[in-house]
Amino acid sequence: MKKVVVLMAVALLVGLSVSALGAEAIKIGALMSLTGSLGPYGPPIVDGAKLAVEQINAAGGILGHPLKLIVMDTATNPDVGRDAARKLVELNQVPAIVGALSSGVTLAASSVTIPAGVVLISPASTSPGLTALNDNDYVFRTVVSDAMQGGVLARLALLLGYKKVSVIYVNNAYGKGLDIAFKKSFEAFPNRSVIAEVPYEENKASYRGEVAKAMEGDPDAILFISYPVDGNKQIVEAVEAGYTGHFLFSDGMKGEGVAPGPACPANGKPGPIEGAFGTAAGAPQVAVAAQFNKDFAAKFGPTSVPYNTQAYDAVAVIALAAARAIANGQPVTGETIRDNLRAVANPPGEVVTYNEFAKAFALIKAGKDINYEGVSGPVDFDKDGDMAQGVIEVWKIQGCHVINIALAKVP
Amino acid sequence: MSAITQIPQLLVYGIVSGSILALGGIGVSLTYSILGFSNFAHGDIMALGAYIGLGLLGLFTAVGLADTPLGPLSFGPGFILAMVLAAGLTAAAMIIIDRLLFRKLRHAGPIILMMASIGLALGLRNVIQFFWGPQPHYYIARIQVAVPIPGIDARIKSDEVFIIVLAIVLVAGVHAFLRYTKMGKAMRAMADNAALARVTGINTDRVIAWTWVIGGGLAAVAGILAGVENKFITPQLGWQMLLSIFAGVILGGIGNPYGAIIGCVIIGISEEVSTAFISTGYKPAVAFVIMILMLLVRPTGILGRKA
Repeated sequence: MKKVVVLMAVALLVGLSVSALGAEAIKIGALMSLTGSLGPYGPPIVDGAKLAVEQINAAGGILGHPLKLIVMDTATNPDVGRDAARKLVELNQVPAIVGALSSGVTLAASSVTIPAGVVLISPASTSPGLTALNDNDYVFRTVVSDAMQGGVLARLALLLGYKKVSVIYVNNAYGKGLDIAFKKSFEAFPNRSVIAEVPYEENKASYRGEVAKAMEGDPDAILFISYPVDGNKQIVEAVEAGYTGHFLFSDGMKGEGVAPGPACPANGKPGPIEGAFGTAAGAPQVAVAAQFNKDFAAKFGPTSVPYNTQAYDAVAVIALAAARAIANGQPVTGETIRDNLRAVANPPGEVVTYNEFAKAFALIKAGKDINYEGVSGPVDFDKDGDMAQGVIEVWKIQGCHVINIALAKVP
Repeated sequence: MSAITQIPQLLVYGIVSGSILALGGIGVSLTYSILGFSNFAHGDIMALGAYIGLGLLGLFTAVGLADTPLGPLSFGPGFILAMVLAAGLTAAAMIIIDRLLFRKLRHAGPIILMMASIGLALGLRNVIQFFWGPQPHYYIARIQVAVPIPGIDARIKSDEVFIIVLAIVLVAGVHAFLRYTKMGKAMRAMADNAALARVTGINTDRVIAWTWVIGGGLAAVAGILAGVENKFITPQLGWQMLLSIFAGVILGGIGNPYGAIIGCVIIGISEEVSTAFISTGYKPAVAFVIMILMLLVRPTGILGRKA
């Protein structure tokens, strides 16, 4: 008799633990630049994704399935990124990946994920080249294309009264794409010209030659489409070579790229780039953004690095799409996530936003349509997997700090 | 500004970069002639020196040694002291490494020694990366605006004048050492014919030790000056310069330290001036092309003797 009770208790325990484990964990990957040119940006962006994972699991997971994030370093290198993507796809068998950051790395990773039918959502790759990618609709991004950032940069340069502008750009998909977008928009204004477009290679010891070329013809301003470490060298070398014109920066230079450093002396005196302007894909000034920043700072410390909100939103839409697939009785695969992505992210449907996962999952379970409005914007995907609309923020260097001063709605 | 009007400025950059390469080239040349192998670790010895200097500089700042800039330069007495000490420590490190590694291989062929030096290069670079990480470090966090040079259309920084002058002084010092001291003469004798030198009673172990002291010390100074010029250093600092240095040494006549100095300055200038006409990405290729042409036309180099 005693034996039977013990057996029953054991069976009960086993049964309970089985039902707890029964909801198998859903693993998604993250391809991030923890080292390399974008190394300074990687960790806060990973933290943005982690925040979403924690909140989803706090809301009971994806309809009971805990969500797990597997982070891989791409070293901001297309080859390393491709290998990391292969590992995530083949070894970890993830149905979806958040990443990569650099457009060139995202393109390389997509050569693995597209044939494997894995969803790839980049939170930071802004190159216009990703739009027309022949991707079987498996590649998305939660950041606006540089076709839009270039337009805002051009408008900014016009407002600031610059007539002749030189561009130094990192010689990859991102740099080249933004350079072309900027030039096209800027030269569409009367009497405005781009007098030099100078590509540069990453991680070189010095950029004196490139800087000298950009300084030729006395431009009113030089636009730096650079990565943080390289850009910092270029700023210093330009000033040391006697450059006295204005500086203009793209998103790649926001944060660590410009302040503090030699260009921003520690003695409190204004440095040579004091008052310089830049742009980046921004978050709209909505209540949820403020709440996100508060929660993020409490957990990971404050940051001025862009794209942590986009990473959060990428994880959020993947989780919601997976939930909708489960609710419809489909297995969670790259294909079903892809097919449900627009249904949860775009209108119509009841609006759910930052940290409303419990509500969103309940609605999905009840078979209702939802429309996720994210921290970085409305997060509505167009037919190319790009953001249908977004916000570009304008920032400024003030006292060696990056200050966000305005938001431009695009398109 | 067209390509032609850029040339004076590029010449200035070239002379600065050539001066730094030359200080590295002397060590490569001496190791080749006295120890009989191409030392692929020389670039990383330069990086080691630069990082030791960085560590000492941090130490001096931590103990509160005032580092007010000297005159128009962007660094102070603490930096000079760090550079001298780093040169000494790097020389000492090279003697220890010679004891642990190269001494055991003294009678192995040049290929084995070369392979050992490649191993040492990887080892040194990873030791540096272990302690300081792969990210760049600021060497000097002060901005120094270049001033126009009277007469020509070019600008130069006071730090660059310092680099050129220091390189000239050190080269003159090496020349005096090789010409007029007993050890210098012994080194030249051993470079000419090691067996004969030993027979005539020259202490070859001491000559080898001095070779490492001079080569290592100058490499450290070269690494530190590269840090001054570029403001940042990374563990790849020396490895990136090694190809240019080898090209310079071969161009000047391998095994001849004077040839190495001339060759390295020529390579430095050619690399910089080439950027007026072709993309800056081809800088290392320029060094390589010059080296190949020299090997085809005159394999012994500018100052090399006919074998």
